[in-house]
Amino acid sequence: MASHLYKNFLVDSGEYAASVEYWRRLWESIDQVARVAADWRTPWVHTGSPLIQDGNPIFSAYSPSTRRGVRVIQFEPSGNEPELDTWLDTFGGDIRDPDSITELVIACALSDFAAREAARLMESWVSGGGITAIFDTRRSRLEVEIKPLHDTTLVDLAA
Amino acid sequence: MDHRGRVQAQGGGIEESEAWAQDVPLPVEEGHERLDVLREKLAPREQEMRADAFVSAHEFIDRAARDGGATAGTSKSYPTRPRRDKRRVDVVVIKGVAFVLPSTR
Repeated sequence: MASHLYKNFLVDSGEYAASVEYWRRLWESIDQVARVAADWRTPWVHTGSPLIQDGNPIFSAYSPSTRRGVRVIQFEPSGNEPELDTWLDTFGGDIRDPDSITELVIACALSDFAAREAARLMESWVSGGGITAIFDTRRSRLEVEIKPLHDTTLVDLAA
Repeated sequence: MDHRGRVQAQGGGIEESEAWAQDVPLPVEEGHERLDVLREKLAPREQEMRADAFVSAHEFIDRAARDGGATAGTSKSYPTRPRRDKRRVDVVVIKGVAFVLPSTR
């Protein structure tokens, strides 16, 4: 059972603002030394227009020096179970493009569980680690394998 | 080129895209055409599994057009509640503006 937060954020502007602030504060709790050292900046990408408040994304940040980014998509919960998924992608070109940003994408219904697991993923990503993540919804467990930076690859979790 | 972006279909072993790079903002109707061309690149089964994602992407293009266009840094992934197989359609505006109405050109 998940303790969901701001379940009505897509129809309640107050809850939407609260969600944005929640992710901003969560980001501020991520390893400050690592963030500063790699010059992480937020926000980075956005929804398309200030008038579009669809949680797609709800938060973003990037590091120009490491060419890494973070993008969080928040959706409404569909039930009482925790919902979180993650994958790696690129922005601005494919992975062979030196100008592209490799981004960690986290999509979730906001809950205490999702926030905790998102923070773990962000910590690893900001610190330079690679990520393999498998989320077992039946057991509400996210298994995360942290790999050295040079082992970072795009992982299709459905494979 | 002052205006760049792409729409792409990823996940399920698929990676297809339709990009644009031009000197003027991409018109909204061309944004829809790019999505249609992208969809036609996919096998029928892949089209079917991304049907909802394509609908959402088209809706976003219309919404962005009503708001004056999607600006650089736009990054959308559909469906927002991801499929377990990660099959998705992305809309990305890298530079400039995209999906503008005739009156804003």
